[in-house]
Amino acid sequence: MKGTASVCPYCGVGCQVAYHARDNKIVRVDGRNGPANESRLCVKGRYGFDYGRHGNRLTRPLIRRADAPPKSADAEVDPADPSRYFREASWDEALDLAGSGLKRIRDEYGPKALAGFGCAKGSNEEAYLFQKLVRTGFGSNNVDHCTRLCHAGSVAALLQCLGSGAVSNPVRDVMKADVVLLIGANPSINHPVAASWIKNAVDRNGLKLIIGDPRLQELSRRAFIHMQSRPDSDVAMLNAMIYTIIDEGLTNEPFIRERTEGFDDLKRHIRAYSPEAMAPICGIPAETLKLAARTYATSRASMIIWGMGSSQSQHGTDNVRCLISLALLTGQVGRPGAGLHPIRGQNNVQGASDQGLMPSSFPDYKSVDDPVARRRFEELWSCKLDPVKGLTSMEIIDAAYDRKIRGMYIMGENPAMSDPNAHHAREGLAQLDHLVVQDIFLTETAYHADVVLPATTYFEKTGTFTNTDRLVQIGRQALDPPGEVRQDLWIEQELARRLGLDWNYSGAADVFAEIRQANANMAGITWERLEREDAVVWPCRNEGDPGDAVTFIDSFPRGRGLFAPCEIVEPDERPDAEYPFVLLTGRMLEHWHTGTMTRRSRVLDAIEPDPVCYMCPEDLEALGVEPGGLVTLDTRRNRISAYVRADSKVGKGNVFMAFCFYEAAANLLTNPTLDPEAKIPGLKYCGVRVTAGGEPIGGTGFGTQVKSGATAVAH
Amino acid sequence: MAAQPQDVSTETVCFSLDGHEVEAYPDETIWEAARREGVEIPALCYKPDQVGLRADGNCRVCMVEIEGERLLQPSCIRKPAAGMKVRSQSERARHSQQMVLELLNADVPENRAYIPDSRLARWSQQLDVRKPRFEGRSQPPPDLSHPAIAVNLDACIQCTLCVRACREVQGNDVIGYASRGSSAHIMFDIDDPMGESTCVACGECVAACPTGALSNAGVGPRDWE
Repeated sequence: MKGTASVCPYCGVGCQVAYHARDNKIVRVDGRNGPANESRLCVKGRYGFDYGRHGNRLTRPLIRRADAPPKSADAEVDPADPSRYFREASWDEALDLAGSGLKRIRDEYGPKALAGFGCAKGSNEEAYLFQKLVRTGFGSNNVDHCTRLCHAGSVAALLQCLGSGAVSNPVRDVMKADVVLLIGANPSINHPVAASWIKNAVDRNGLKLIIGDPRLQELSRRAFIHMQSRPDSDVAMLNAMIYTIIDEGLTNEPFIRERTEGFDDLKRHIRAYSPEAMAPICGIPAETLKLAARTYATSRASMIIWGMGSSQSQHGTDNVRCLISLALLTGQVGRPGAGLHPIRGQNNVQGASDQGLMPSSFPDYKSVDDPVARRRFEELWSCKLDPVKGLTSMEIIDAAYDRKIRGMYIMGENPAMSDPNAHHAREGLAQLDHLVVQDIFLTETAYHADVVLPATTYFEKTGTFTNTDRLVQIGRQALDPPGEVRQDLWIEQELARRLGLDWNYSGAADVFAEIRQANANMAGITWERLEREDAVVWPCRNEGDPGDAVTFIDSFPRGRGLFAPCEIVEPDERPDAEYPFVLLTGRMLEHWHTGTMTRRSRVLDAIEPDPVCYMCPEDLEALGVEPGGLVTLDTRRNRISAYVRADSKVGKGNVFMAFCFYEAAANLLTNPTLDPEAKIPGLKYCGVRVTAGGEPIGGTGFGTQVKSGATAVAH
Repeated sequence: MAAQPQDVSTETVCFSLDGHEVEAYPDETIWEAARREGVEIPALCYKPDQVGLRADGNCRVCMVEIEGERLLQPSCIRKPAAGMKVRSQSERARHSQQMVLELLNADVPENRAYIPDSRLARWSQQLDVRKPRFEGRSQPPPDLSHPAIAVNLDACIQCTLCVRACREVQGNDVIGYASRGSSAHIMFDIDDPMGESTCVACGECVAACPTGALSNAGVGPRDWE
């Protein structure tokens, strides 16, 4: 059995896999010897392949019934039987209604009354067509995707200080590093195969691993230092490290002289941030901060890997600026094993951003307010383009709430679960005159839709996906789509035609050819080469270039690297007497993001079937709750109940919860306050009150365990 | 990633394999050089296709005869030397390989396959090893406590590929090898049921297992023939 050579649909690591199918059903997944995974996989990649056959799968277009209950943020539609709200329709009827509804709003209220959320799980080709549809069909830059909730802070800081938002070195460069500084990331859970390389580097090469995170993690036992900082104190912690490096003369003077600017400003600024002054703020002893700084600065090659803990913050951009300063001060960038790696969450969040699925930039990060770039895209797409930056995700939802945005096209995203203060997001969605959702299941977002277009799962399409290492990889179709499900590219094209665009793409390869024209960094990658080699890293500007796995070797895209000094800014919402705990959110190993896929996967849902949160045993005891008992979490926004686990990895005074459970959606609780520059919300930090007991939790997932026997699963 | 040309030394070692002159790269084992030459030597505790799993030389099914040496040698860890004369299919080598297979077959249940592509079954067939003449061992019960991975240690040949996969490749440090002699067995954490262990179900052990003692739960061999 040879299987279909493809890539894993889950995280940004981009593991190559072989799908073995029988009777149009995947029965086994094997790892292939890809550059990122060398045949390794994790539980999601190896066992989370069956969700596409769940009985909830959308197989026909749906249209909101004329006699459906009125739209409401609190609407709860049963994804197994949405017939009270929706009726089935033909593709023609659904597409005509979807398109005419958007067109009417555009013509009546203007292009800025429309917006689109594209998808970081879709292919490069789908992302490219999506942003092109919004820019040329809707007529504005109101297009965004979940990168806004993810690495927006990283990209803003990297673009400002270095001129490129992508990673400088692949994950596997940890094998060439002597020190890794891992901040705000928990790769054993979220990027397990990436974590395996870090573990190998510690075990085999004696890598010194320095972790900064309020929560201990699986990798902590291999760490040289784990700085268990107070939540939301990264700037204090990192400034203390910067102080030490300058104070103790550990800077790389030639590097600073030849490749950076703004050092004097940083030097002056940092005087107020001695480790002794910062220790009480971040909760790390001054000597530990100094040791971490010395270890990072003086090693032969140090790499920084960071995740949502850094960027998904009200101070996300500042946190990352500090990390960049560390690398620039010490010259720990631009060499094998020395660099900066914001580890990407979604399998194609790098690619979706590369293809311009953002309100500020065209493909290749060309700013929409740059007249030269705009002219280039006006020529390529043969139409006038909006020179004004569009709204970001959160701003779009706010504008929908305020009825300034009246129509939306959402492909694959689930803001009703993933946005902070999710009830507000649901209110915004319910306010829309016209919402078109394209997805594989009736998501919490689709509850508010007017038209639902049934889309393909990852396994049912061919396309390219760019992993966290900038590696463009080809995913190949392993299954035929069920029922009347159509290819996402086809759906986008049909919708575009109904908005008056004359699109005639024959398939993914055809779209990829246009991407090469739009994106200079990918211009050298041919479809044929991808088919032959499975993976090519960008930048690859000319055909035949090998592609550069390590960048910033001689210079930065902006020329000199910029030191951007950062001050400590009080968070919007400190714990107080009323809400004394800190709520940290994130993910768990078995469940992906909002749970749409993994909670419908038999194995994954069986391992983690119930909504759980985590607290340290001391706090649980003080609360008088046994592990496994019910607790209620209250914030200034909302209240949920969940089962609680005793977990000594969680710091005292903190509660951790993943946001994948619709029965107890953690994001109903989170704080929507935005980073002022990147507009990323501080999803990982807010005050919460924890009380024993609570409302019994209704529902058990999506009935995956009960129904996924032979009977209820769609065949 | 593929080895870069500059990383590969071109100095080779000439030796004789089954009467033919062959060349091996400096770091190659006899087994690897043989495979490149199209000579298949049995392997169970060694799985070169799964990158990162080192050879251990413990199952002894890959034994070869080296002229001038009193003992047979495991080809998966033995490197050739210049002028060495190796016989992988001599009567003595074959007899040893077959005997190892027969002894291992005595340990595992007859007529019960957990996977369709058991390497033990394939090599037994290839080397014409029939029903074992030896008495079987007492068999441990199945452990079906985990939703993803079925544990049937009756099919386990203690090759420790799963231990290496879990500890050395994925760094999860869950699978261990406990006790001695005929009591030796694979265990999870401190001999916990797998579903209660700290296993993260990466499946690296399942991919490595040569007999299906560790296999994907809920998928019968017939599902993917």
